[in-house]
Formats: sequence, structure tokens, C-alpha cells
Amino acid sequence: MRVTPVSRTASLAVGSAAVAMCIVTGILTESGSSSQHAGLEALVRMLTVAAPIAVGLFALRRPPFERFGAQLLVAGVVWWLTTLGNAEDETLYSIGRIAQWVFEPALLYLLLAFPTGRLTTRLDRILVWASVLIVAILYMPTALLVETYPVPSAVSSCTTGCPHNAFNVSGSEPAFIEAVVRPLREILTISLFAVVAVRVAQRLRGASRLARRALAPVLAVACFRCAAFSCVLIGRRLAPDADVVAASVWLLTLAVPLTAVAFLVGLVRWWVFIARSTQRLASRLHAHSSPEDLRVALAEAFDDPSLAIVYWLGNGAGHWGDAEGHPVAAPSATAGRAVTTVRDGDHVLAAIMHDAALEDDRAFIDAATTYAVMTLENHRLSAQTSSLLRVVRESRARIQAAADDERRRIERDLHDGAQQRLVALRIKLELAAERTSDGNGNGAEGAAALRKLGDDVEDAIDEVRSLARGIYPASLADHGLVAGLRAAALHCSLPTTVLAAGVHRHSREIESAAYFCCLEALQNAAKHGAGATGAVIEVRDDSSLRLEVRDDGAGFDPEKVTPGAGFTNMRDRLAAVSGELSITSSPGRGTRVAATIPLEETKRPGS
Amino acid sequence: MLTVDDQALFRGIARDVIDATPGFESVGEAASGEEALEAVARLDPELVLLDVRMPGVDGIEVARRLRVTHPGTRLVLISVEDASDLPSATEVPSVPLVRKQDFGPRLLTAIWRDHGT
Repeated sequence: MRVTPVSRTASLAVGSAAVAMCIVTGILTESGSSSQHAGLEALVRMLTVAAPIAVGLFALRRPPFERFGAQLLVAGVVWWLTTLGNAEDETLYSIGRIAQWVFEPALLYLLLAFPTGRLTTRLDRILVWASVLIVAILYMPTALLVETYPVPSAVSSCTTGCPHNAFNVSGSEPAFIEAVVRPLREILTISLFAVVAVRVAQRLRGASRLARRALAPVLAVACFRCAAFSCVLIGRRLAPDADVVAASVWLLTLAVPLTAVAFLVGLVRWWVFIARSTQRLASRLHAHSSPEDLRVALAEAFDDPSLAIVYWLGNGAGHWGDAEGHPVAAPSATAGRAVTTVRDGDHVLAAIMHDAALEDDRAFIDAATTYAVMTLENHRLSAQTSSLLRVVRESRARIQAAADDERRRIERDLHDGAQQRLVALRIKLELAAERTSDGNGNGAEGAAALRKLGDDVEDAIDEVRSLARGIYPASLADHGLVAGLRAAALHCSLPTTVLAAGVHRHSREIESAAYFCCLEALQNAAKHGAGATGAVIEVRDDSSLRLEVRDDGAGFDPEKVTPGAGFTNMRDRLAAVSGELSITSSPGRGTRVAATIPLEETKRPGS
Repeated sequence: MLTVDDQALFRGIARDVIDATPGFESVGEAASGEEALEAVARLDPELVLLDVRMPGVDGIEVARRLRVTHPGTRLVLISVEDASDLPSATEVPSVPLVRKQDFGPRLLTAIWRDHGT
């Protein structure tokens, strides 16, 4: 049932009706009472009618308690009917006494359904149905069989000479009612209210801090009414005329307005808590809150340390991710955990996973998440950017790796194909030359011609080898970065020293990036480092792979020189493995190119 | 002598060179590092011609192991690349690296002679 908050006019109408009901109660009580304090008594009874209706009206106009407010209002009307029990007229008196029976399940429902107006557990529904059955089976039928109703009663002032039951059709009261039905129903009713008190206490223990604040006063009145009810039922049986019974009857009467006040206190505490929490949350959230700051602020506001936030990354067909943009599983409600999806208009921003107990506090969750929307959107955009960057970096790394694989394949094909055939040809020519010449000068010309051909083939071999080396050096592929760099140093026109100790093997991607980056820097030093007498390549390997290529050439002014394609290649190569490049140079002081590559994956054995 | 190369083409050429060189005889061939280690243990050749670049256990690793297990066997590493391309191939003590394209009866005789002195 969806209850919409009632309009001011409707409230006014209900309020006027309530005033009229109170006046009726006052008149009936004062005229029907034999007490010397009839006026006071009438006032108290008017109060007991006014309290639940007033609190019901109050709640009815304040979301999200409209449903509970409406229920309390209905219960208040039923309670008003019970005050007819003060009338002298038999029919009105009998209606008042029967209304008292009907009121008990209604009150029990309210105690269990506060503050949402909904029964949340199976046990709660069983308790309400049990109370309805007790009234339907053990109370209502007796209205047709008894001559008088039991006294003293919480709803009636008369104790002696009360009106007869107007609905009696049996003539005389069957003996089993007094012997069996009344003791049984009284025991069951007391037991039922005791279980309800325990149930409210149990809810209190498992509730969020907010729900606890609202439930505590309700638990207090539930216990109070249970105790007063027990005193009345037991006292009426043992000593009907004792003062303690009369006092208990009044306490039981007063328990109704007290319960209404407890509901009111609970609701007000609820709002105060929400106001304070949202205020604190708002003051803690600002544009630069880190994702963890936001999580902690919400966790404190929700009183749930395990609260977690995931962000919706991408528009439309996207995925869920953490604050760093790493993909995570779609949030789903599991045992004890609930998911609140945060939206800005139609756009899903994030999902907050929190204690399911907070579901009672839907209005609070909505208020708190509204405060956090801007900050959540900032973090979502940041996470989305990180995620996109990661995708780009991974794609670049894949492209680079594919290109390197292709280079290695071409080098291998050259080595195993063209080079081997040329080598075979070269050796065959040498063998032919050996056979052509007999060692005594015969065939020397032919042998010389064959050897000349062999020299031409050797030139071709050298050219293919040089080509293969440029594509992907054999030493890098087979023996790793340091061997590759040593070979590169040997082929460099600039005298180059390689300083490396204890450098491990790394993934092919990292070794390729590091090698080609150093090679580019070395070629730059040889080509542009006018006057350079030598270069040094230094490789260190700890938590990251550090490379440094320095020369003693002319250097340059980084402010004035635009980086060429060589530097762009180096940056691209390094970026594919999350590496960074820095270049230090000044005119006359050489150039230093430094690169750092983070090492996350396991090292390959060997060096 | 034993010829070790993953390329059948070169093993064939090496056989021709050995046949054409007086005083040399081929006792077997191996197509991988693993086969080479097994063949050396079985055939006990006097000279082993080892290709540097082979998949799996390469020539350099085979040379390192044979230096320990068969110190008396003469080993020669052979490759299309030269020492400047394969600095690590020159790091195995007393195992020379020669270029494949220089291989022939004269080089073979020279290796044997140099090694013997």
C-alpha cells in the first residue's frame, strides 16, 4: 500500500473529527462516572483518545511515515470506540467493551511495525495473526454468551452495577467461560505481549544506530504495557477490589497515550539523527574529498564500517569499477547486504553496498546519497578516465608486443632462411675452389674466381646480418637486455661502455622497450652529440628497471630544441610498459637520458 | 667429429666439408642441444662443432656443460653472427667462436692445429 501524504485540508477535517470524538468521550465519561473526580476522569479519557490520533496525524503528513501514521490513526479511532465503555446505555457500553478486544491486535501490530508500518519478518506476522485468532476465537464469541463483561476494565470507569451485555443471546452464561475460556485467553494474551516485548528488544539489538534510537522508547512502553496488563488480569482474578488492581487499570489506560508519545519520541529522534548525520556528512564532503574520504564519511553517517562504493563506468553499455577504474562484479544484494543505486537524473553514477538493516532508513539513505552525488560524480569520472587510460595503455602494449613479435619472426626467418642458404653457397664455393686447385698451380685461376664469388656471397651475408640485427638483435632475443646492449655497444661508432650487474631477465615487452630506448639514445649520442668521446649505458634492476644513457657530447638546450621522432619513439616504447623518460642536457655538458620501467611481473631466470 | 646444428642444410654442408678434409671423419650429427649432450656421451667424439643459436638448450649452454663433463673434448662454437653480435658466445673459456661462412677444410685444419698447440 502506497500512502501519499495527506493534504492540509484533509488533516484539518480529521483533526476536527478527532476533537468531536474527544468531546463525545468527555461527555460519556462524565455522565457515566460515579466517581467524585468525574471531571478529571473525563479529561484523562479525552487525552487517551487525543494522543494516538494526534501522533497519527503528525506522522501521516511526514514521509516516510505516512503508512504508519494512517495505521495509528485507525487504531486511535478503534481506541475512541473503547471509551463508549463509560456509557450507561447497554449497547454503547457493550460496543466499547468489544472495541477493547479489537484494539489489542491493532496495538500489537503497531508495536511490531513501527516505524515503517510494515511487518518485516515471518515471526512478526505470526504474532499478529496469533493475536487476531485469540480475539476471534476466545473473545468475540463470548459476547453472545455472557451476561456481563469482566470488571474492573481499563476502558470503563464502572466497577459495580455496570450495564449488562446487550448482545447476550444465551440467557445464562455457560460455566466453561469462567472456568476455561477466560483463564486461557488471559494467559495467552499476557504471553503474546511478553513475546512482542522480546521481539522489539531483539529488533533493537540488530538495528542500525538510527533505528535503535527510534525503537528504544517503543520497547520501553511495550514492556510497561505488558507489565500493567499482567497486573490487571492477574489482580482481577486474585483480588478484584485491591487498590493495586485499580491502579494497574489506570496504568493500562494511560499506556495508550504513553505508547503514542513513545512513537512520537521515536519519530522525532529519527529526524534529529538524520538531520545531524546529513549535516555532518555535508560538512565532510567537498570537491576534493578522496574516494576513501567519501567512503569513510558515508560509512560513519550510515553507521556501517563495511560500506563500499562502486562506480558505473561508461555511458550506456559500461561496467562497474572501483575508484581506480578496475573492473569489479556488478553489485548485488546478498545475505545481510543491500545495494543503493545512486543516480543523477536518469544517469546511474554509483552503487553503495551497505548493511541491509539500513533499508529501514530509506529516507535517510536517499538524503545522504543526495548530498554525496556531486562528489560521487567526480570520483566516477576520475575512475572512468583511469579505466580508459588503462584500456589505451593495454592496447598500446599489445600493438607494441605484436610489432616486436613480428620483428623477431622476420629476424628468425632471415637467420634460418636466406642467411643459411648464403652460408651454404659460400662453403660450397670454397669446397669447389679446393677441388679445382690441385696445389701445384693447376686450376689456380678457376679457384681464384670461385673464391672471388665466395667473397661476394660473404658481403651479401654481412648485409643480411646487419639488416637482421637492426630488426631484432639475436643477442637480445636469446640472452636478454644486457647482452643485447653489449652487442649494440660493440657496433656503435661511439666508444660505449655498458655498466650492468645483477640485472635479471624480464618480460619480452620490457626487455624490448628498454633495449630500443637505449639504442635510440645511443644512436642520438653518436649522431647529434658532436665532439662526444664516449657514452655510458647504465642498467640497474631493483623495484624498477632503471636505464641511463649519457654522453660527453655538445648537449643541447631542451627549452629551444624540439624533441624529434627519436624521443617520441622512446616515450611511446616506454609508455607501453608504464615506463617514464627524462632527458637532461645543457649546451657543452653532454646529454643524459634516463628511463624507469616499473617491474610488477615475476622476473625470468638467467641474466 | 660431431656436428650439432638445428638446420639440416648446414649439417649436410658440414658433412661435405669433413669428407673433403683429410684426417677428419664424421661420427654423428645432432639437431638440438639435448641431442648433442646425449650424442657426446654415446659417441665420445674428439671434436664437436656447435651451432650457437638453437631452440631450447643453445650451443653456448651445451659448451658450458661439456667443458665440465668432457674436459678433453675439443669444442668449437659456430654461428652466422660474429663475436660482436654474440658477446656471450665468447665467454665460454677455451671454446673458440668461428663464423659459419668461413667454415671449410682450411678452417677445420687450422682449428685442429691451433687447438693442438
